[in-house]
Amino acid sequence: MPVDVRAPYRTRVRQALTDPALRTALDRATEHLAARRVRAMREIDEPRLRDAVRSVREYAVANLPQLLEELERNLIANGCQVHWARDAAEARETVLALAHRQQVRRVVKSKSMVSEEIGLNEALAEAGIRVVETDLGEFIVQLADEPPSHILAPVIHKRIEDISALFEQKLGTRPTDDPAELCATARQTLRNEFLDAEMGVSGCNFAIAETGTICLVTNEGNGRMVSSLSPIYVAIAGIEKVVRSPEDALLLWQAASRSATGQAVSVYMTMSSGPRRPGQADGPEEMHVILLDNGRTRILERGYEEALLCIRCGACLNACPVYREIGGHAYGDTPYNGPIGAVITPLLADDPKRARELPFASSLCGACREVCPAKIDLPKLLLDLRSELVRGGSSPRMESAALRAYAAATGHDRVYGWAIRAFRLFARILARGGESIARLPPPFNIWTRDRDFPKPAPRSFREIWRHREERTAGRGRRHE
Amino acid sequence: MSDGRADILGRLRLALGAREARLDRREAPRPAAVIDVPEGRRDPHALTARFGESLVALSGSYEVVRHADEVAERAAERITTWSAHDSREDDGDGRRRDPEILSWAPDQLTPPDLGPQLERAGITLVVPEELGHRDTRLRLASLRIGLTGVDAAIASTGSVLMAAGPGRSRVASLLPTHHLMIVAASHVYPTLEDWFQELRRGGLHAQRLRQPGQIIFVSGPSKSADIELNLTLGVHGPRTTHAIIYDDAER
Repeated sequence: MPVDVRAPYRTRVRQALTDPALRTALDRATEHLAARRVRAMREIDEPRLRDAVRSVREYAVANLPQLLEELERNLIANGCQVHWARDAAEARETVLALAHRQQVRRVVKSKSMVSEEIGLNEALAEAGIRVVETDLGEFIVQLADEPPSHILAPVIHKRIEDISALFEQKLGTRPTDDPAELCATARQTLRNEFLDAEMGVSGCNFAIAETGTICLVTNEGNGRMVSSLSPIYVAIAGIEKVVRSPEDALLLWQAASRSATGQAVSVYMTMSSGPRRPGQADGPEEMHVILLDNGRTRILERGYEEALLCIRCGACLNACPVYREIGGHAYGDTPYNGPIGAVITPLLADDPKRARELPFASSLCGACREVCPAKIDLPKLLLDLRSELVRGGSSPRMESAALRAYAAATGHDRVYGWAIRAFRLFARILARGGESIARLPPPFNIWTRDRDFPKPAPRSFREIWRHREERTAGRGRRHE
Repeated sequence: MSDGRADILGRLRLALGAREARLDRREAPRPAAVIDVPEGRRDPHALTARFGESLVALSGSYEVVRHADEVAERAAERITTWSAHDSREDDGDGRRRDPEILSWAPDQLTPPDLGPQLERAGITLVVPEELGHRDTRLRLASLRIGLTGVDAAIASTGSVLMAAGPGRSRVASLLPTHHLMIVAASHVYPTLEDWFQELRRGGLHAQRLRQPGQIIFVSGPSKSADIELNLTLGVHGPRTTHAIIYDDAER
């Protein structure tokens, strides 16, 4: 059954785990992308690249105010208009005001997590403005009226049959199992939208301060379309997207391409600095850049600045054993899922209670940290978040009580010794002469619902150690 | 929106200044290039070959001609082949029609007489003046073949760079199904970093990056793997990209 992103956490996870089609699709896609990343990184000096990416991003975030001012100055000098939005509402209002001023009735968008973050599509629709997603995967989920499930591969959860049925229903095309045919349908449909739209909206992969340039990384060409064909082009950039120089942008472009899909570079890198110049046949009459905060300063204020280093490559998603099982929708109504999403979704949210399960949706295995090109210590950030949540009273009472009991038992040598002996006796009884325990009594039965509990060894470690100490003391030597 | 601006910048300065932000403020060291192209492989001949190989790996194609005079002939051949193929697909008859192509202006193409030579071969170059009218846009979008030069080519990634400019429309490399690129061998650089370093050293980076309004790197045909990870070409941009590389003996 498909995952309902608005359902409670446990429901979402259960829905994901009991959907065989989703799990098959996730398996294939994450395995494929993870393997491609490994191959691409083997071709180059990966440690050196990661160090460089880390440095470039750290420098940018550490110098964020100055770089943002420089970016603004240069964008304006290039003929762009720059708008600052403290939150999602201000960003939406800015876009709506621009659309209203120019009587925009149709908007085309290239793939943009940030536009979903601010709920732009809904706001535009409410104002009677038609919005069309042009990234092939986003176009498909828009037709299906679903949110995307992966930062890079929005329809990772759909099979060809699903997409064919969807096109048949919504576009009146005949059923097919040929991806090229589906693609051609999308191309033609979207082509008309591109040519008629009055406004193009994109996100921003990198914003170069030194030259006032907005960089868009795409494989399909829709980034080019939205930034070139409409009279008005609006780029929405999270404030953390700024980088110092073109050299930095070229480095991050290559790092993101290799990490995300194993490509040396994406097919298109659109670097827009300003509107159409006199004498040029095409290009927007107006170019606007919206610099969006919406919780990013809060992330800095709360000490999670490392999370702002992210270049949105999605490598952590493909490495994460949790993501690979439950997919993106299980993380809830957020465009940011997977390990990085588990950190920034709760942080960007106004309400600390919202998405509070996400930092716990991890085994802390560290696979994400191993693949992150910016070397973000995601497990540490997850632990810090958990710690904050627990101290804020967010963990279940039973769990807190159990942990307090555990702390008490392990804090004193004698108490610990008795606890171990009692436990071992208890466990041997439960094992009933067998090799393992199939069912522990409540509340521990949740552990044995899905797995057996091992039988204790004939002697405890403490007993072995004590015996060993006595033997060596008896022989008058410290070591054997 | 100055309130928003002051607010955001103020909060950032406070947050970064208040505690020892655990980030490194220093200028970032970076590798000379992500992709290493060794000394022995940086001559024009090697770079041309590598560019071609890279492009092929991306599902593009290329050919190398020795002399600039051959470019027009090869370009005409490629255009008529594509045109005939498209006719066959559309109408099933493969009848030779005089192709019309979406193109940069002749004075922006190299070698300099490419435009006139193509016209003499019966190929019409459609050069957009403006895209303001819907009819114009639809007409331009109906042209299946695009012809452009390139500002630079990158051997290690199979990329070409095109900067917007008068007579150098963006749509010529974006709207058509087939994109024909004329590349001068002297414009092929080993890596992206090499290309930009030359600009920076010459103090040209501001002019070349900012002034055009938009510059674009294109590496092969438009792609998507969104549908069950199957690679499909020509999603929004061209499905076919072909480079004719000629030796202009400038370096």
